[in-house]
Amino acid sequence: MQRTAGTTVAAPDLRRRGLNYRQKDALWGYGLITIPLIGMLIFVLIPFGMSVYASFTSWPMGQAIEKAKNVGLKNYIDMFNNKLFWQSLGNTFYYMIGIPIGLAISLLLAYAMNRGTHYEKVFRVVYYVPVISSVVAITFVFQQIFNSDVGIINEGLRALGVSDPPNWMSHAGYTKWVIMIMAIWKGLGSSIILYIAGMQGISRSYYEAAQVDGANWWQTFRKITLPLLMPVTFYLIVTGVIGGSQMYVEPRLMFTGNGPNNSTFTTVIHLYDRTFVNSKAGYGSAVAVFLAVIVFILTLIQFKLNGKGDK
Amino acid sequence: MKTRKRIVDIIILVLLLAGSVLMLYPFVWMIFTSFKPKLHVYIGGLLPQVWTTESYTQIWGEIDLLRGFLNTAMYSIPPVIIGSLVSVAAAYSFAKIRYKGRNALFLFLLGSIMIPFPSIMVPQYVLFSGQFWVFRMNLLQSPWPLILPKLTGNVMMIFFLRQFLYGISDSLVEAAKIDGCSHLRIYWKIILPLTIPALSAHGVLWFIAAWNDYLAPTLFIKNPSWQPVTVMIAKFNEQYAINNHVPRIMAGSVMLIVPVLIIYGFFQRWIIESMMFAAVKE
Repeated sequence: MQRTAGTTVAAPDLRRRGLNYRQKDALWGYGLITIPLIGMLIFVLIPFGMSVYASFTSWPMGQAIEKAKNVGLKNYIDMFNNKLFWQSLGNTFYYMIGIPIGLAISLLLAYAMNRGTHYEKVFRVVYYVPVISSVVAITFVFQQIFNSDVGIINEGLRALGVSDPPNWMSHAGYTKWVIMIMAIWKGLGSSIILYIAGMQGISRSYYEAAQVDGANWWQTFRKITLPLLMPVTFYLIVTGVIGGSQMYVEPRLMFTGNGPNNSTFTTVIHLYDRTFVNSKAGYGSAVAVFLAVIVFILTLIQFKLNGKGDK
Repeated sequence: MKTRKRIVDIIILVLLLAGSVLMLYPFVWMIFTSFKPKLHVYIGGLLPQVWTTESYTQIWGEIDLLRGFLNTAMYSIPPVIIGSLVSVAAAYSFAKIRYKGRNALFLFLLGSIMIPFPSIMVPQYVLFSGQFWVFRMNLLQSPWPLILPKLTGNVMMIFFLRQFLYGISDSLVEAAKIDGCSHLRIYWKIILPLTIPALSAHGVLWFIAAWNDYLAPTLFIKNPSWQPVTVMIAKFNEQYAINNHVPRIMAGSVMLIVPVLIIYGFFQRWIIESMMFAAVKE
């Protein structure tokens, strides 16, 4: 132990103070996690504490938070009585219909891309392209693709004989679907990769046994692949819901304001606008805390069920 | 049986090809449209009848794109590298060094990923503006708000690297210790090389997220010359969305996507393999 102690500066020093190697180990242990812990304290815990505190005050944006007047539960009561808040929450959850749709498509695609053919790796790369692309850029492209007059979608529909294709961008019944279609399209590649990785983790012996029993493609898929991929599916649903509950950029850039008839804005857009546009940071903080509670519960569920899967 | 398999193979290949067209068409359309004159958008047809680079001269003349790219690189490369090194060190500590309260501290740290960014973005803005408690420096005119939080590591990364290191036998570290290696030496010579595959997989994910980030820079970067390219182009595009100058908007999107596509083109195999690797560890 002492042979090369000279290579570290700290070692002789610690020895003089009478620390044994165990304590020295412990010091290094604490030392190596100090930076992340400080980061968490400054960038997460203190801000979250401020959000919780501010949610009970009438804090106007731009003023010192500690001088804000305490208003008790008023912000929460306002929030629950605010039609716009419920609309934003409704929109946010409406978008999540896209999660199971996207998962079903990517599961089938993953199955098609995991058959041992020599070209399937190329497809994995192709389908992953939207994942790495900037959501800002993609949003502007889809805005034009779904343009009611000159967009390719409606041109295609007209070519197919639909004389009056939908007003995707201005009719409140369609606007959410534009965002959902875009989000599904953008996310496919990522869930395909996770599913393929999951499929490759399934032991061959199951499939061999199924083959011996004379099971067809569909039976094998339903009775073996699908149930054994449940952890992946579950992971994707939970991370999808957590990400979906924080949706901001897509509706913000694709539609102006809250969208036609308040149809596209999300809870985070509501939070942002109340805080920075209306300067009601106290109210915004109540929305922020509410959002954190939702995500907290979802994450907890994931960890619970994930932990079960491990054992 | 053999011919049946061949038929199935061909059907699947055709379906996957059709899907690839759907996946790539928006990009192809974006590129061709960016070379059209403004009013030719209404003519229809994928290929431009007249090719013009007017939209590109416009975007390069109007905004300082080079500066934007340099800013973006500054926000997404050095901080992610440093943050990754910090994360490996923390993962090493959590997985291989014994001390009191180790698991409790880890769970405590892990708790922070449960708090979504939108729930803390307003207070973060207040901290960066230097108006709270001991935080008295206004950083909103500087690039630091997009750098500092990354330097302290990434909790998700620590989580996965810790899992990864758990899978590696303790004897390797013990043997090094008996040989008199310091913790820093073990970290640098053993742990870091071991974690490179896992580290690069999660590093790439982090890098892409940082490169494409939009919400945080709109909030925290108030000095236009420090804005990343996403914010610059979003502004440019929004401005031309008002008078419907579609080719210019598409030129903006091309500038945002093509550099990432080129990087992806070079590293695609490795990136996809890394993602698969990361997925297995999840």
